[in-house]
Amino acid sequence: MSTLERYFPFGAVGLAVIYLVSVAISPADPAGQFRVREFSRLPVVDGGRVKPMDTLARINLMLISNRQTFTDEQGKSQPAARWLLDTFTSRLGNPAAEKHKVFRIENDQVLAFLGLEERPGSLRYSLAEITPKMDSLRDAVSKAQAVDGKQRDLFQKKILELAQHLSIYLGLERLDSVLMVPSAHGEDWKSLAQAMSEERQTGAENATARALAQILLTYVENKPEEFNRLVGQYRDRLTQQMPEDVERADFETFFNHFEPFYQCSLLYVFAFVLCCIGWATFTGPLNRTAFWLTVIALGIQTWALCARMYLQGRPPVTNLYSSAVFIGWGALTLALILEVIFRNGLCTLVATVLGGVTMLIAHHLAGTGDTLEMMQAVLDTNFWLATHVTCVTLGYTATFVAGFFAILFILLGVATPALNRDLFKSLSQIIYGVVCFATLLSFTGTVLGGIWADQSWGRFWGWDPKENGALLIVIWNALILHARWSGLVKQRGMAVLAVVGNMVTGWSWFGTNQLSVGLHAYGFNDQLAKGLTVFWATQLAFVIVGLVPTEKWRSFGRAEPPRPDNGAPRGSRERSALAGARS
Amino acid sequence: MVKAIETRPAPVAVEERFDEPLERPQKSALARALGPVASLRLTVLLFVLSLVLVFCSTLAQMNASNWTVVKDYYRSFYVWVPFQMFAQFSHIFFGTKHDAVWSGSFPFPGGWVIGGLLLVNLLAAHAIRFKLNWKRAGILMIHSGLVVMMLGELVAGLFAVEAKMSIPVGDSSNYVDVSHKNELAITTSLDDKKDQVVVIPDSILKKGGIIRNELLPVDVEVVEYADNSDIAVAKPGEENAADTRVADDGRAYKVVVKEEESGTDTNGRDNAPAVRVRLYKRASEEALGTHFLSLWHYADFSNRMIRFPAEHFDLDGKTYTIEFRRLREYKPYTIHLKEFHHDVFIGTDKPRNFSSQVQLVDPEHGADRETKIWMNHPLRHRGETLYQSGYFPDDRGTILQVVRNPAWLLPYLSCSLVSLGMIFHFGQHLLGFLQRKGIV
Repeated sequence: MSTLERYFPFGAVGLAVIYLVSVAISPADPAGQFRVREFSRLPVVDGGRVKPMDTLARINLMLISNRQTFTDEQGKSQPAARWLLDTFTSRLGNPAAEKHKVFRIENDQVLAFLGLEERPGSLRYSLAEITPKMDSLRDAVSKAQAVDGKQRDLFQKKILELAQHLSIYLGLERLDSVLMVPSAHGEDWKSLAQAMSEERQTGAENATARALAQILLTYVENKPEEFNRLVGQYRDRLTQQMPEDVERADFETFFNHFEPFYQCSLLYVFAFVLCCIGWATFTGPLNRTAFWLTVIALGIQTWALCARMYLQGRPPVTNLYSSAVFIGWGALTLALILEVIFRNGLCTLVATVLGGVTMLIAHHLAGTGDTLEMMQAVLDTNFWLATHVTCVTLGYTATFVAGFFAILFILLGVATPALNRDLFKSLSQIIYGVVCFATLLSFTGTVLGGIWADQSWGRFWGWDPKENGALLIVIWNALILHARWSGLVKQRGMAVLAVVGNMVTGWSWFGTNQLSVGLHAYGFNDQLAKGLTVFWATQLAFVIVGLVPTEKWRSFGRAEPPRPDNGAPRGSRERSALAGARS
Repeated sequence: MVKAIETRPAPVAVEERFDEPLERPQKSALARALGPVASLRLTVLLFVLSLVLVFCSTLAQMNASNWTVVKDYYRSFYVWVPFQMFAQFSHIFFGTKHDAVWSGSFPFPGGWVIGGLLLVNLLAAHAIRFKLNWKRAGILMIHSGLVVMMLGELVAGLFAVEAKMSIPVGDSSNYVDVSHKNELAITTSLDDKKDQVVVIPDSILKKGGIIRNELLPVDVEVVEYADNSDIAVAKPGEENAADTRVADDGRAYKVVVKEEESGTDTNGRDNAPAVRVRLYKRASEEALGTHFLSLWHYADFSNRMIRFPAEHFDLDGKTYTIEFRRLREYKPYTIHLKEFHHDVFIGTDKPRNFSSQVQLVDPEHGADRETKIWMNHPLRHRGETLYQSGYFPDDRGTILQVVRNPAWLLPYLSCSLVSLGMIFHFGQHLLGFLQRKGIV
């Protein structure tokens, strides 16, 4: 082993760690300027929970602008908290917020209606640009509202969407949509507007509200030092009143800033590229590097999952977004364990693909608002529910993992000569083993769901669409196993069935939710239905490829690659088999 | 010139077995007789059928309530599956026309048949291959757990009763409204303490025609029976229409017949059936009037938002009340609601918790105790379980779900058996595999 081969993985992993640490350390606000970051750590109540201003800013900017930063008039990228501060102070004499181009309008009819130029690449407009047409916009909105939700055309939907974004903005501007002012010990919160008007009515001074208002005023008057001092004082006041909430808000701000899931995605993409190059050349070191990078990414994802559990005080899966994150986590863990067992580099490849894809899905699911939203009472924390969602989501995960190994099996077998006897055997062992695991988890998870339902409303099983979805996965996995045991299918058949398992799981995960959209499906997440259709089409393509008779598979049509030396040490066997396959 | 002869080696023996097949050739008479019934291939076929059934029943819930679908697809021997729902499916996922009509339907075995066959298949397989050793212990546990589960679902399907009890704050109740069953009740007061009630169950109402019975003070003609209805404020000009009634709030509301609630709708509303009856003097043609009665008018209906005054008719100097309501079942115990709490998440109207502080009084059992019923913390009494289920508009009362299911413990048993069985069985394989790999 050359020096390069030996030290390359250490170097690459070291660089990754240095990068991550540099991202984690937040640069201080520059001296003499507004400490916006300091302000963004202050806790407020929104959506039923205490969160930092930072999260509030990001969520709302995301809603209206589909981004977590904005570009100011100088073309400089600014954090969401800056936009929030400008919006808060808009009615106190700060003209900045109206000029920020943050309203995303991509529909050309709406743009034409507002008399705005199409702005390719940005698609974002300021309030000042919309204001001249406000009256006709109001008319269009009331007309669209008069139409029944299911009958609205695209223009009407987009007009209402814009109206909703404007009302979010106005709520922030009026300071009455966010509960910012805590009572003495944080058990009751009021909006700043309400607190001030109560103070005017009763004459009793609300010191907290005054302190907040003072902060906003110094911001308008452009007195950075005064602003920074007041923010510090206000923070100290809250720390005395409710230390836990302040601490949690601090942590959440760090979480937002670190963007752990984004960092994970980067690492997955990088590791994936290494795996692919490693396939062609320089196998050992690149595969090792990819493996360790994926381990680091998994570590970050694990930390992020725990952090979300701490922030929310709930089990890891509470909505579609968190299910995607959790499925990614489970798939990675499983695939990395398989890599340790089989040491073929392929398991790392599958891990990075699944990690990346689930991050992408989660990113698209996050657009709808706070991903740490509070749960309805029935879904409130409960032992059975927590174990149910965890277990059943891991069941989905394992089914996907089996399915992706099956795709790899089919593609390698049909299109390359690489699927030699050893790889053939180990891949089908993996598929079989993971299907067993999936059966166990999906069954237990589904039944635990029944037990939770029995505890909650006395009906163990109700055959509702979501339950049916989970049941389909259980039956499908059981079918694969029984078909294998009965000899109806062999390794190749099992791989094809496992790919169909992906389709079944996709249906349970996203499909059943779409049915409620009903007859007029321009639904709120029409995109999900389309995405699922595309996913099904790709999986169906793999199934069809998998059904090509084995004599036509490149791996089987050619000569058997040389058998590896049986005396080779453990682990090197698969690798040398791979090397043999490439020669 | 001789071309090089291409030699093509025989394909690799790709489909090696790595797992012992379960089906071993057996020659006993029992095995020969049961062979086809016990076949694993039959199991796979039954799995395919159950997948289709479960999938179709999911789609069916786009157009019908969950309850209707469970009855039609699972608690039945066969079902006619309409093609129309595949048109809807295709619209949602493939973007085909939303008004496409695919008429017709195809028959499919129902839950009793597929479930029964699975059970027979499983028992037959074990009858043939029964062997008690460690290797098979896991499989045995899994399958006995599944048998327990199927029996549990059978018992629940046949005997479980779900009902609701609605109690205003400070009030008591000793009866429940059985879910999904309704009745027409005609009440007259005999004296200060006693009422006489005659009820007609909806199974008779659905048949239509004229209902005559010596217990009934009148003859009842069912003009119309609807599985579901909706209620809305009457539009101007409709205030005096036949289907409009004035509520306690002084406003007129109109009830209209509509298609069934959808089981896929996340709001999960119950159907509100409605019935239009014409009353006649007994054994005569003399009509006493027509009444359009919906569950929306019934005070204890769980979705009710508005209260209506009772509907009356007069006959021979007596006043009768006529009401369409849930099937009423009286209980030997009384629940008194002392307090009701409905907490929301701070700054939102998203419910965080509901709880009912109640007094349970059961003279026969000598019970008289105070207890709290809240989310995931039901009250169990006399084989029945009372769950916090809902609340009145304005939080003025609680709605409890009262369930009697003799099989409620079976799923717990089944879950433990199957899960432990799988852990044991797959764990054994995994361990063996890791040992062969030299990892453990």
